[in-house]
Amino acid sequence: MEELSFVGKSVPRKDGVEKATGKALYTVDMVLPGMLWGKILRSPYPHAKILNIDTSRAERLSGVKAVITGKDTLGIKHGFVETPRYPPDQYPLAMDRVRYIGEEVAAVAAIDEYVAEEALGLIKVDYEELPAVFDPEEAMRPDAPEIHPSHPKLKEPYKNVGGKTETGWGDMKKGFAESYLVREDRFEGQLRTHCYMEPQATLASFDLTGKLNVWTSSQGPFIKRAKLATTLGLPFSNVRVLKAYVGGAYGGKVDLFSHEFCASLLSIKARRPVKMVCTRQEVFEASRHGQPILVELKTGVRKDGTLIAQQVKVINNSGAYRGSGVVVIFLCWGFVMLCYRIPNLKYEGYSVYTNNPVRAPQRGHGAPNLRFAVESQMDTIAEELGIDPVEIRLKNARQKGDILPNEDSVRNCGLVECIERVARATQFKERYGKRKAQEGQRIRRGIGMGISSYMSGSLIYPNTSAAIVKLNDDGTVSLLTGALDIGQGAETILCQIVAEELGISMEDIRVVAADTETTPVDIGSWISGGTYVSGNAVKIAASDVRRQLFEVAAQELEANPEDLISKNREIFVKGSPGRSISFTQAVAASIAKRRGNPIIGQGHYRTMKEVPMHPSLATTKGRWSDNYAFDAQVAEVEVDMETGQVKLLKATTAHDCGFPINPLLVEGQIDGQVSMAQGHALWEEVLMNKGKTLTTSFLDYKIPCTKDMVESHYIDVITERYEKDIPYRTKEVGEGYVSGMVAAIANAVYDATGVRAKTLPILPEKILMGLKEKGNSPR
Amino acid sequence: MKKQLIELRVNGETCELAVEPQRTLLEVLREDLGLTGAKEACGTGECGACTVLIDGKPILSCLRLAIEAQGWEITTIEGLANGEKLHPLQKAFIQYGAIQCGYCTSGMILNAKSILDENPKPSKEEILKGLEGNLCRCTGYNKIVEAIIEASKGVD
Amino acid sequence: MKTELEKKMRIPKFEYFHPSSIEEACSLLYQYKGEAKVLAGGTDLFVKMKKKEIHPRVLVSLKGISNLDKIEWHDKEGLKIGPLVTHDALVHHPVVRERFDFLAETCFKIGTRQVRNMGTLVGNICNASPSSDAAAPLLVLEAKVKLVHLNGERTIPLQEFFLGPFQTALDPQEIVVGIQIPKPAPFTFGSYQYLHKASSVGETLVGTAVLLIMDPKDLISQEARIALSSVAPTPIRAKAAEKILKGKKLEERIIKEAAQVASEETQPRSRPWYRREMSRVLVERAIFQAMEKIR
Repeated sequence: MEELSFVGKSVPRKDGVEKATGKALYTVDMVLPGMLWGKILRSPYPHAKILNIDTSRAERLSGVKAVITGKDTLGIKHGFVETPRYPPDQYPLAMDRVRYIGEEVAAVAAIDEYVAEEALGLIKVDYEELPAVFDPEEAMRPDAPEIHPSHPKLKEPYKNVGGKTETGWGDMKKGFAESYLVREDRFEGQLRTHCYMEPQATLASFDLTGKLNVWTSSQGPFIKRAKLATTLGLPFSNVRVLKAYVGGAYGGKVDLFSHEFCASLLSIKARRPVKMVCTRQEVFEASRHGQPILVELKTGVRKDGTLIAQQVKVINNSGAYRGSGVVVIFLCWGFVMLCYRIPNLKYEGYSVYTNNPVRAPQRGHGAPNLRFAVESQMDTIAEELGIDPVEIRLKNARQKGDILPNEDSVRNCGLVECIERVARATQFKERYGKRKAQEGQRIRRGIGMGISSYMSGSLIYPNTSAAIVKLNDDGTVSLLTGALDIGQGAETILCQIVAEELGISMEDIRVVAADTETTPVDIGSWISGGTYVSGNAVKIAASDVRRQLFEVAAQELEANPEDLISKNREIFVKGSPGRSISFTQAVAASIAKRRGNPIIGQGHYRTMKEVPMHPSLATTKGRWSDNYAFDAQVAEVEVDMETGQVKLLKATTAHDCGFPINPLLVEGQIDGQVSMAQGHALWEEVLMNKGKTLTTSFLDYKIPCTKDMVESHYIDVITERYEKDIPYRTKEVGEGYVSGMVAAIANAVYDATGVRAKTLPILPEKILMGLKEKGNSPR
Repeated sequence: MKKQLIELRVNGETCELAVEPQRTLLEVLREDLGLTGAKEACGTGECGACTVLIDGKPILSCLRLAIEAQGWEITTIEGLANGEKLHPLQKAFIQYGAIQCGYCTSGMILNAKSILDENPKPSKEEILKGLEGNLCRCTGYNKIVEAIIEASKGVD
Repeated sequence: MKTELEKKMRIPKFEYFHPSSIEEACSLLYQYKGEAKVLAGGTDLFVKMKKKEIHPRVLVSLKGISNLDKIEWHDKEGLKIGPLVTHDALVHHPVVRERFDFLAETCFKIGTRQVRNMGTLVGNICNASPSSDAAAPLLVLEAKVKLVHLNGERTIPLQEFFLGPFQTALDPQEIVVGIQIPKPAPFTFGSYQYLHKASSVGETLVGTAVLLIMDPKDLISQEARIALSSVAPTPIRAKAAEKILKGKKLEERIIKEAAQVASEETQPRSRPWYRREMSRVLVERAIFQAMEKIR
């Protein structure tokens, strides 16, 4: 196979210089002439009817240019998913009801933030409070207050079930009857939040031609455009969502947010640009946090550790609207069945409304809490059977070529190799199970393993990515892609692909990205398909250019197009490097020869072309993805048995990502996810009391700082490769490594202390209380 | 409240501005001088994204009044490169993958610069301690620390 | 049930004064009677103003007054720390490092590098957070606070300065012009031990300072002082525990007993079980660590 020049290499980021010199513009940095500041008035009640809103005093305040409430909107709802079963359920501005503290009720635009703030204080809202419920299991009770009385009852007699996923196969009764050991456990994952450094922000400008221009901190402009246009009643062609650099997202900036809608509508009303920036406090109190799920797991195994039957119940607290809750309960089924072969399975997932702010995906979208549950129980089972954690996983792990229950294939599954290699690299078997030997020590060490899997690209609006590659007369190239770089390096790897396909340098390529008006459609940076789907679209577009250019070059070189190679800005004949022309010469020749027919390459890619749509969220039937990533991770911890404080010393990630297009970027993704896993497992929790958020700053909600930095090691398990002229199959690297590591940390803590955490985060007092219960004194 | 006429020395240049007393140095840099490299991620002194150097020392510009920043040499990220020539830290951050979303980068690089200016060969622990006030949610800090150590090795 | 939301994040408007003497500053405080606040480092003040927790109409900055950033050592009176002395200055000052090493260590722990460059020790004390790190070492050192107002001055022990969470004996018309730390007796050893909330920088979960005044001949403590922060409405001295150690030979059994008693003197409001347990653990560790310095 040809040696690659750019793909597979640790090329420095394309936007590195801009970011390192302070020149990169994020939405928060943007200004337009005549710009107004917008602010939102939020509900102080968790559940209430809106009887009346009086904005007259606010409108009269000097410096206020526009005020809006629900009655100024078209009353069109939106939602994270919009299907017949789960139609949109949230108004961008509340109409007659508020369902969580922080829900958006009104918005103003004024000449500065001080006036806007004052104006909010002049808006008078009359509420009639309604009974509220905050815990999902309480909300399911038949006597619970109903948050959406008009929604269909999905699971009688339970109330407030906004989403339901039920599936299974085999014979559960028989399965459990044949089991040597049956275990039942309940695990609870906490409410955690993204803590992207750039707060939510939008700049909207409605211009005199009737076009709405929007810059917003997001994860993909096309879904934003669709939802903005729909809720505002504007044609898609009149809504332009443009690229802004994004200061982190991790799943928290995907679907339509009220402030995006409000900034837009205020701009339409005031005929001036309107900027809205959420304060950090607003982000904590009213924005979308990650889905907290609880998992009830009943598992039956043979004496040798082989899984026979698994019964899973997942309850998700989705907040006051469906949000992505209906998706997470579907995904959790996936996260159960991807890693292990399970002959008999029963799965039920319920996404339940409560009077809390609506929740969103957060890096892993259910996988971290789900894998924490499964992997913790797996270790417990292994211990009871006297088998080590590596053995039991190898016994049950998905193998290459397995057909999944939904008929997807894992033809390129590298899970077994991941487990074996990470165990070897960390000397797992030798170091595991040394609790007894450390008795009496104040500082103890533990090692734990967790495995996980993640789908790489699936079908959700807009379902497809396309790209255009244009040649400029001097041999430089413009790549037009709708892909949005949210920090993961999308523009860089797409540029690497073009450079590889055309045989030119990274510097020769200008990436024009993420503009709904000028760049083609893209699936967005939130469906784990950036590298796979958008990358292949770009590859096809670039190879289309190469094909057209080679036709001309072949004539110049008197050779066949199939015999040409493009490398180092030269096009030459295979085996005869002397017969060559420069890329620039070839371009010049094409201008001359093609007589006005410019070389423009286009490409598009969609995962599972043969399948019409996303699998059923309710029944899981249907193809989900044609590409799955796998990983096995090991955590090594140190625990102070007197204080219960846990230190994550070392994290090793063996990952089957297909092949890395840019190893340096992949390493960065792993490091970041290890850090998030550390926070998730050990400290992070958004605390709430009756719908009110208690943790409202970084002082209350701890994310890792430099002193928490973990030594991070990587093992690349290569299961795919890059070849010219056929789509490649890399797998996602942006989300799947949080979950295995959370599970690994929990298992490592058990290994060190003998305390099994059933809830996250594993706070020090949980360890001390666990030790107390076992009658173990720390010394 | 009445605006005051102040003079700020920013990146070696003197700027004359009229500002109200409550305006922070961060706001004035970003909104009056167009130097948007310093960012706000929290506004309450916990994240470090607003870090700028005052006489070479890192401070939180979101908690410093612009009128009280007079008489000091203020360095922002925009003042670090020498024309087209990047500072060794900027180069190292790019080369070693220490930048992802980039939002924390300005504050991180400036604080790192102040650490290296105090001690050209800091230990890893000194770097970790020195940067504890600069939060990053993307990188886990590994490549940031690696970049700083590499930059401290180079002579440029 | 209604909740307060939506706090502005820009500092609200105020009138700014930049006096060049303490007298002038006091005069302004007198003039604006309760509507004015003193501005030193600003790290606590501006956060509170942004969150709309306080609304001073007037700020009186101390930065125009010379000599307020001095750290002075007098052989008889001890250490004097001015109101504009930053944590960073204390970390690096040779006298502080030599004679009050655990205070310098504590100041190095406070906040972050940036905060230490801006925040002042006096400001930290005036903020009176129950979890103030600086308070515990200053309490065992029996520091005093000097306050001036237009018509006079007074000096009070730090213990009497803290009245409640974020409440001090500081009158709105007074300015703290210094913290005084008496010269320690010879053979005095101190230590500060702490645990963070959630294991990273930020607020202290439990902080313990121990000061041992030892008999030069053997391991008998003439006096022991124990202070704890973040376990009560204000930073506290654990007087009952101190009694246990006074005049005794510092052996493991008696240290553990004192630590247990100290933990019982705490009144933690949040995570109480864990804070009490950790008070015990940290007092024990602090005593042992102070004893390490004896050798």
